Amino acid sequence: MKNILVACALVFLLAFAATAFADNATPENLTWSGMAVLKLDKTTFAAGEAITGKVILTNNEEALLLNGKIVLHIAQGTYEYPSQFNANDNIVLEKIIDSGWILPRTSKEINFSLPAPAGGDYRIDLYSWAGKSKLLGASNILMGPSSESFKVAGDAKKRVSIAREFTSFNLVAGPVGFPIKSEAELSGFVMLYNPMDTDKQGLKLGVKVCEWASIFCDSPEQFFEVPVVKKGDYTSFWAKMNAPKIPSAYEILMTLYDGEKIESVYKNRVIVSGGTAKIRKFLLKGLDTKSYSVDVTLSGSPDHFTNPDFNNFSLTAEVFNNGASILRSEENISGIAAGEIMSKSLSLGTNLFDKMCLKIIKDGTEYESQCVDVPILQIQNEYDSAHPKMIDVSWNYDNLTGALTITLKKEKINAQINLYSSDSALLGERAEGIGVYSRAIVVPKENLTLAVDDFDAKQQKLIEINLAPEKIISSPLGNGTSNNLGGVTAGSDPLSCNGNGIICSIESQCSGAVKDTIEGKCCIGQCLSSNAGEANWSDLLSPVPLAVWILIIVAIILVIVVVNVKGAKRK
Amino acid sequence: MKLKLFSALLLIIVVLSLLPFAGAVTVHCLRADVNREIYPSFTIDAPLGFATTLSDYNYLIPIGSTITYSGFGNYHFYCDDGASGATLNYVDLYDTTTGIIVATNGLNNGGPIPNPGGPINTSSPMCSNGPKSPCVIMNGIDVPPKGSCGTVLTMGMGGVDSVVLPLNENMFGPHILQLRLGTVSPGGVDKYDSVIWPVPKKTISVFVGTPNILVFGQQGLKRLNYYESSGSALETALFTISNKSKYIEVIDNYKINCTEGTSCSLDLDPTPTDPARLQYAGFRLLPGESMIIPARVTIDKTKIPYSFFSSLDLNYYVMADASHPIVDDNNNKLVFSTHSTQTKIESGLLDKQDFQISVIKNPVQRECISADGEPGVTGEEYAPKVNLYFGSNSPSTEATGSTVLISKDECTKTSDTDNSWVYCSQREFLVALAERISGAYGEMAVANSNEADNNLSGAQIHRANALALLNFDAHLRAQSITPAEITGSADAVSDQIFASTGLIHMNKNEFKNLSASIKFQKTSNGTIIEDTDLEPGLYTVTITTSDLSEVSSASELFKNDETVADGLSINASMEKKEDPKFDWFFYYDKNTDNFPQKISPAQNPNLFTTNVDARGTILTFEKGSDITGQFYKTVAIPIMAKISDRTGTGPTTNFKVPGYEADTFTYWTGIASNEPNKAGVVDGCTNPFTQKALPYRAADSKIASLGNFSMPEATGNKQNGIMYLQTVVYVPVLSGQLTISDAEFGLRWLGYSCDGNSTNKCGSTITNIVGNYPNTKVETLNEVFNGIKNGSICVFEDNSLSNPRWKVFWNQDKVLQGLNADRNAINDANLCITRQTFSS
Repeated sequence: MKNILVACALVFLLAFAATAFADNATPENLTWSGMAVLKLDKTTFAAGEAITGKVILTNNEEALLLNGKIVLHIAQGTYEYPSQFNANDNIVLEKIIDSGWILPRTSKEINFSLPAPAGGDYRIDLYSWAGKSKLLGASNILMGPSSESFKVAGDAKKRVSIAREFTSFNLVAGPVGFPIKSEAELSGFVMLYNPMDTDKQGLKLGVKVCEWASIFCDSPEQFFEVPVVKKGDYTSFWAKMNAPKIPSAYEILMTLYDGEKIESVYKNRVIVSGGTAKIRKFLLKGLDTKSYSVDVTLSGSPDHFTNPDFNNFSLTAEVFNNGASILRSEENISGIAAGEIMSKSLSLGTNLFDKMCLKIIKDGTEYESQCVDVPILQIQNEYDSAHPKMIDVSWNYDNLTGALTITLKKEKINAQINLYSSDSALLGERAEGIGVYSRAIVVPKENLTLAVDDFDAKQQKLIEINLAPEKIISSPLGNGTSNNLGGVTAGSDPLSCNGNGIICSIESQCSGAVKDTIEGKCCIGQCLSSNAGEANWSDLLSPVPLAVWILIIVAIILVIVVVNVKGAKRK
Repeated sequence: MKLKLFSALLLIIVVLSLLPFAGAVTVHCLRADVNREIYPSFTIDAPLGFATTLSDYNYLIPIGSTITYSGFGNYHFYCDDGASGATLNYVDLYDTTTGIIVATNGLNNGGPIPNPGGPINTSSPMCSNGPKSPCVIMNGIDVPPKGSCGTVLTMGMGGVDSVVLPLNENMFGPHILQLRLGTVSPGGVDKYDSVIWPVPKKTISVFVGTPNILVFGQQGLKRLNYYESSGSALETALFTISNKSKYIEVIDNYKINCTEGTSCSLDLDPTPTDPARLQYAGFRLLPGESMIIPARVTIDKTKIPYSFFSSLDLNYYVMADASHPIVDDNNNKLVFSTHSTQTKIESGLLDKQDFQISVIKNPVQRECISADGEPGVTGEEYAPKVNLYFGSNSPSTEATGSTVLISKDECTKTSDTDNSWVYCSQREFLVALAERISGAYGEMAVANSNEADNNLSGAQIHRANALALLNFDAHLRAQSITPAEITGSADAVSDQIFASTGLIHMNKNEFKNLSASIKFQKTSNGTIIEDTDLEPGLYTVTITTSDLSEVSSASELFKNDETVADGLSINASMEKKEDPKFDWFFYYDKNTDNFPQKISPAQNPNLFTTNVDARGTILTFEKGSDITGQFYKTVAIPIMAKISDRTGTGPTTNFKVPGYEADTFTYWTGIASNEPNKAGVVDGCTNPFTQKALPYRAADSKIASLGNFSMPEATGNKQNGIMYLQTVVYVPVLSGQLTISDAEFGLRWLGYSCDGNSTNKCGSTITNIVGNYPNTKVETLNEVFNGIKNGSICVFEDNSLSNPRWKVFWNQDKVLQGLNADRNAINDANLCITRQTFSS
């Protein structure tokens, strides 16, 4: 009995300890934080006039948005979700536009021009993706678009449409998703409706089976001849094909063509059963430090019918430049369950590449592959332009000679040094050079203001230099070390953060609140010398991960248990 | 024993750890699968544009914008085998920083959801009737295990498919907004009644605020070492630019303004991509950052001493993100304008007069705010120091009943406690000067007599007295000290005025001749300068005579023909010591001896004029070629109102002002309420009817019929809501009375109190307003002066114009102290502390 109790306790404690090491990704990590706004240039277009407008995408993640796609549908009727019961809707055009990359916390405007449909009332639906991460809605299941209505002047034209409620694959209507075995037959039963007062013939149905969504589709379009669709009547036919081999969720994209013109677009969905892992989101980080890494969020198999696990596979990140592989990093993963979500971080180890491929590989088979153009030099240039590095400024005052030495540091210095006393300008001098620029000037021992104009960063660095001996320093601009006797010796500009705070150096402590920002620990207060004050327990503990503490506790308990069991035996 | 104890402890731990997994089969539950299929679109409608930056905030959004979530679509639900099949749903936007639901598409129907919130309509059954599993407990909530329930495909959101959050001034500041899905079962008793599920990735951190930049002129003294009055000097004036907003702001362009022919310039960009580009055009200011823009000021030393103004006009734009500016619909940058206050620069010769560059504008405390928002000052030290009535019959309303004489100390402060001195006109100064010179001659005559009697110590005392009389400080109004001006001033002294001077040792002709014989000189650092214009201020006056030591009697000051003695020359040197504490318009009128006669009463002011159009104004003056002003003689009457929802159908707010026809009667400020604020605390600052802040200086409004009005910002259904408002009604003295009647709310004023209820109406006539409000009425300038001294009247000077302008107005805060007893008696609402400290 005692042994059972001990065993229960050990299982419990070990299970508890194991949770401390689990990946903490959650479903919400799969979507992309941002905003997509659709604006049409006008609400009424002339007959034959292109439908023009723009999409404004805002990337609200603190990472680069890559592989952006927007999907635009021109449709007639009323949008409803789910779509398969809605007979009053017909998509007449699907347009996929590559929205490329967007810098962290910035916006991008994408203009579009779509061919004019015939006269009538329409709406345009917008979906947006960042890779397989949803930014707005989900175009593969026709869910949650942002819509705008518009009118096209001219004669209206009726179209043959795919009758959604009667069209099914393997007896399932709509982009719901049904399970099927790898490479098994997909039986599409397609029903068309002809609202016109003449029979329609010569139509073709194109079908693409696209891994995940049509935005990533590289599979060929299969065509099926369509029988005559009699006026005011329905016509059905079969479209049969084989399911893909690799387990995943697939969009079945149906396009009904009348010659080159599109009459109707609709979608279905199929889940090829089996274990797999999907790359649902990836965040390229390191633009601020030029040390790049990618955080990848994986999910288990989308097969929520058989819920298969997927074990012993690898996640690889490979970067290329001018077509040549530069570096490849790999992480072996023991397993992922269906519906499970996990995050992995891979360092890219290079700062010169133009393409990145992320892959899931098991036993030499690619289960998932996403390759994306990453023109890192261009991206980095734009990032640097938007977040210019400011010149570093430091100063030193020699109490004996009264000389103030101002030192500027930056890769390329294109600046002006302005030094003001309370009543006059002491120095106004251009500073140009490479790396370091230094200037000494004898100044009165009073409180001065140093303003360094960085013409490349288009910013001014403003620093108070408090030399007045009798003044107790208060430094709203931040800077300088001093004591109440005015023994100022030197200072440098602290890195600002979050608009209001500063980043303290390693050897100093923050006097106020500390907030985590992308610049680092942001001190809302003053940076004080770290030899002041008392250590507290949380400071002492914080460098040690919680999991380590748990392991230590488990070890201690084990020792106690063993000692007790031995003791009991001796008795 | 130890082993048993340890085992027991382990058993307890294991049992406790397994408890959360035990099935609670009797509790029914449901769960929205918010991780699937809920992807509402999120949009910001911002007329001024919004921004995303690498900061703590996802979005920086100006006040006046709206946030909209829409397109919630349908979603999966899981439920146990006892959950209702007709559960209701809604979404809300929850501010995690305040714990308040700030927007919802549902309505409160008395359910368990905090108000506002809750379902608005029924919908299709959410849970299908397939096989289900019992609930489990997760995070303390009973939930069904995933996959245990069917999918509902026809669900719609509660009536309205969007949630709209207007960002008004009440939303200023940081917010973390969490979009949540709420579900409520009409069954009404089970735990799932109030389950709220945050929608993933739809929690945003926003800062609601408007872009702004502050521009300051230079402050502090600047002393320059000019020893010559030729050539020019190049000086630097600094302007500080501060970004006080959370936005990244960029300087578009800027311009310096200088007056009076002075040359000012700004540096150009030394990186010559565009030779005309200003140095700081395109410079960025991150949130909280400041920078300095220097300007070159060329001082023409041939003109000194002189003064001029400079200011900086600045245009800036705001970044929508790190790369792009906010643009308008035509893709043009939205450019905002601002400017610095005017910096007054005074220049002069250092060997004769120090001068300074400093910000002179608004050096005073902002103690009271006019109805037009002008910052005024009040108190003894700001009261005008002029002799109101000297030398003339006063109007009956100003009469003091005593003859006003000029003493030798008329312009001189004789001790720290002496407040009887005034800034003297030239005539007053000449009289005081004559008294002093005459007195000095008298003292010298006595001294000479003492010496003749060998009383040397007595002689010494009288000689010292004489010197004290001839060396003194004088407060002077602006005046010119040319001989012509002096003679003119003395000649203008009529018999009537002279009779009021108090001069007893000389007659009018002798006074004129003495004045004309004095040679006035202006000095700087003891050196005579050519300038003959005296600005208002305190001057050190030094009188020297050619033969004072020879004086044997006072009579020798004049000859028999009433001219000054032969060979007598009198010099008066005057050196400025300091500026007046407040730059009153009175001090620029050099010879007015009777201000009441010079200031015109406002023409037929009526209640609209004094209470709305020129609300609270007492005097207005403008300095042109002459000083001109208008005087509104008014009585300030404080009134309090109690607005309540007496009938349960909304507050009743109508009242009458018989015979009054304008669109606005007065402006009301809320001071107390019984409404909790967003944090649930009744701090008295929330309007119970609008849920916004209490009204501040809000106008009532005319309703259809003549003389009928309704109170402001009091519409909405809030049963038991109570809000107290107060106002000051400024009634022309000539009106004599004020009537308010038929008020559907409580009213209180001096001696009148009516609580009002559902049947009674309140109202009365305040008669004899002058007699009933003796401390808050002004009919005379003397009362205005006293009002400034005691703090009930304020003055504001606007010297940013070419012609400075002054406005004297009632200090509404002080007037409202007349309601202190009524305020203190409020027992059914809380006083708003911020309104108590700044109540008007």
